[in-house]
Amino acid sequence: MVTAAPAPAEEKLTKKALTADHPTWCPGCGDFAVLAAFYKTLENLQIPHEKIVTIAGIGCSSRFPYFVNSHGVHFIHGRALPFATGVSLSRPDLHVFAFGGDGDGYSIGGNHLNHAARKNVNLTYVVMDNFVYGLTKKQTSPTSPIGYKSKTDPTGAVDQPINPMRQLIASGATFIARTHATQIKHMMEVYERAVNHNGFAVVEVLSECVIFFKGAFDAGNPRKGGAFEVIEEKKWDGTPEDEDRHDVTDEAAAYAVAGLPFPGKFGVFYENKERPTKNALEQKWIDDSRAKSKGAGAKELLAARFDLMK
Amino acid sequence: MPRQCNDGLRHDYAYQVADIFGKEFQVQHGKSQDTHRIATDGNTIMAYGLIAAGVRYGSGYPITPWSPIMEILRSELPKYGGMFIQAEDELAAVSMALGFAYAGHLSITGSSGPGLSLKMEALSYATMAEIPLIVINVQRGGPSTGLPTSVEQSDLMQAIYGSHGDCPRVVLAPKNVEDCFYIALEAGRIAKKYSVPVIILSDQAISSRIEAFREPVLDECLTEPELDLTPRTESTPPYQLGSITQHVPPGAKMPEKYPVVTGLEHDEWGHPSANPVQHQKMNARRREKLKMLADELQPPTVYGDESGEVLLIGWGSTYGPIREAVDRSRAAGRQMGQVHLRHIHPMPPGIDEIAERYQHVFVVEMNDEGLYGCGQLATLLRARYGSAKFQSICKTDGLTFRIREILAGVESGIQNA
Repeated sequence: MVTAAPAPAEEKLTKKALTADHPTWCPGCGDFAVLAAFYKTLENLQIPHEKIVTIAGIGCSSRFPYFVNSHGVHFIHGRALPFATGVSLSRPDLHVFAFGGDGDGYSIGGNHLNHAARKNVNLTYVVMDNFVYGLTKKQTSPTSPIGYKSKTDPTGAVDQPINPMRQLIASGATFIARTHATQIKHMMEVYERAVNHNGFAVVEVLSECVIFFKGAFDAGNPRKGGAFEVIEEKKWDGTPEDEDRHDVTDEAAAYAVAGLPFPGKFGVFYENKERPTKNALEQKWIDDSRAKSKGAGAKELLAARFDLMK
Repeated sequence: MPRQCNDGLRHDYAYQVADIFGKEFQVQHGKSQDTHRIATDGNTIMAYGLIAAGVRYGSGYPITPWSPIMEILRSELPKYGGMFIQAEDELAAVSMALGFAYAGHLSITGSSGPGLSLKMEALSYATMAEIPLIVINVQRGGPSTGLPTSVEQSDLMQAIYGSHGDCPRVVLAPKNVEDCFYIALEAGRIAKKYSVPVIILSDQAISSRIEAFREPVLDECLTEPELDLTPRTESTPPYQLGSITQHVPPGAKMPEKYPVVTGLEHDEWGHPSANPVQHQKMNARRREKLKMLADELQPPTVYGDESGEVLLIGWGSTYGPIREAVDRSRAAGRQMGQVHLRHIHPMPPGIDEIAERYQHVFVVEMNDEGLYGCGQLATLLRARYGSAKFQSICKTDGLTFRIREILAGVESGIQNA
């Protein structure tokens, strides 16, 4: 039995209402901007406060739920996605957000990323990628570039870094975007589209660790002399210049953009609005099963099953 | 074999297939005289017990001999408006089940030995975060990949102590196929009341053998799931000291402050706190829940002689063989009693008082006698009561106990005493 909430009184969702503990991040950490853009996005979208759920694993960025005043979960290392999957599948009324870093999402939790994408679970996943393990103080991460000197690779990292964008395309994520923590406006645009996407939406944010990998993302920051090149999406306006624009529904094109040398491009790489979500497919099975059993209650169903055991 | 197991299988347990072939059965055509008897296996009736307990959501990963529970729930739960999800691995399965539970549903995960090892980190979280969850371990022979299709009761210590940290959680064990239904109900009741993980230790023997028993009376045991999303008027912290709390499910409006459910040691609102006093208080809070559960348990009942020469203590699927061993010994003139534990952690009270009434006490279990000559439950009983009176009759050949093995264990135990 579900005791549903009555229609909520009109109450504006504000940054003030969403603010919880002061973040424990180091001064200058890129994650502050990610959090600020998240508050702003929620304000813009005016999602009912009680329907926001923030879920994270372990790491600096995974402290996120403590800093958002919403129903929140600080789970174990690498498993935020399966936990969030459970919440999303069983509670279609909620807006489920998962947060984490590159170690949490691409290393210890790498398998879950593939499978949440493959299942197309309806939720928004924000990865604050800083190319290093920050909470445990400077070990090589799955996205650390070759040659990066860490405590576990004192002579420079030797393993090829993961390309999360390519991995996400290959495993079937239906919304894949990339942004930069210094570009607040762009972050908000991308978040908003991710939240509104019906399916597994992933936003990879380059978010600098100013202590252990200072300047890692300067190449993508115009204020530091870099280039923040945004993907121009097709407008389908029939103009000749539209020919060269990026088709977000084209997997091969997305894969090509994902292969550009660092710092690459930013924006939406891939978007698939056609593939049904796991949420919808499971619900369909429920609806079909209920229709077949004519909506029988638990007692009738169990009694019928026991009869077959007689 | 007839579907309705022959009435000749006394005491509601079946012989192993090898024994059946040596006997002659006469199968009579026609309808059963008793319309209230049903026949099925332990995994199947466990699955329906979970549904009767109010479980509508779960997640698992294939492994023998647990898989049939998962397969049944995958097909059945949609009829009840729920779902069972096959996860990519054991860690995802327990995490997803915790997600369901956090979302406000009674939820389950399960596996067999190796899979439980993989779930242990998340189960420690369930204790810390105080999330109700039912976890089934259909035990098989270990260690490692071990003997996937043989029976053993060697995961008892793992069930109680297998996670990192001081991690109190509840452990139950069904005594026969029929009890798989009722133990599921009890697990659901405890998980919700105390907001704790509850592990059910089934085993390979109970999981696949077919027994006949009385159909459960649904009017008496059915629990409908509830999800209370009404806006809360009071800001109650999720880990309020001095009380057992249930989490407010997401979707319920809070007056001002929203709770964080967490695995870091925390204050009453779920925010991180490494304060030494706070940690001790929270450890006590988690421990006290199990003490409160122990307080509501009744002392176990004794089958056979209430006092005398020998008491046999068992748990799980050894119930039938132990009972028959007691019957045979008593018929031969020995005074013998049986105590069978369904609640293993915490234990019911009064086991020491019962044990006092006998000259010898043997704990019969299918695990190794260990370095110090005691099986896993015997070790726990010794620790619990500080008494060396609890002796062990153990075996690990991957087969269920034969009556004569128990009787031989009793004889040699008495001689060596």
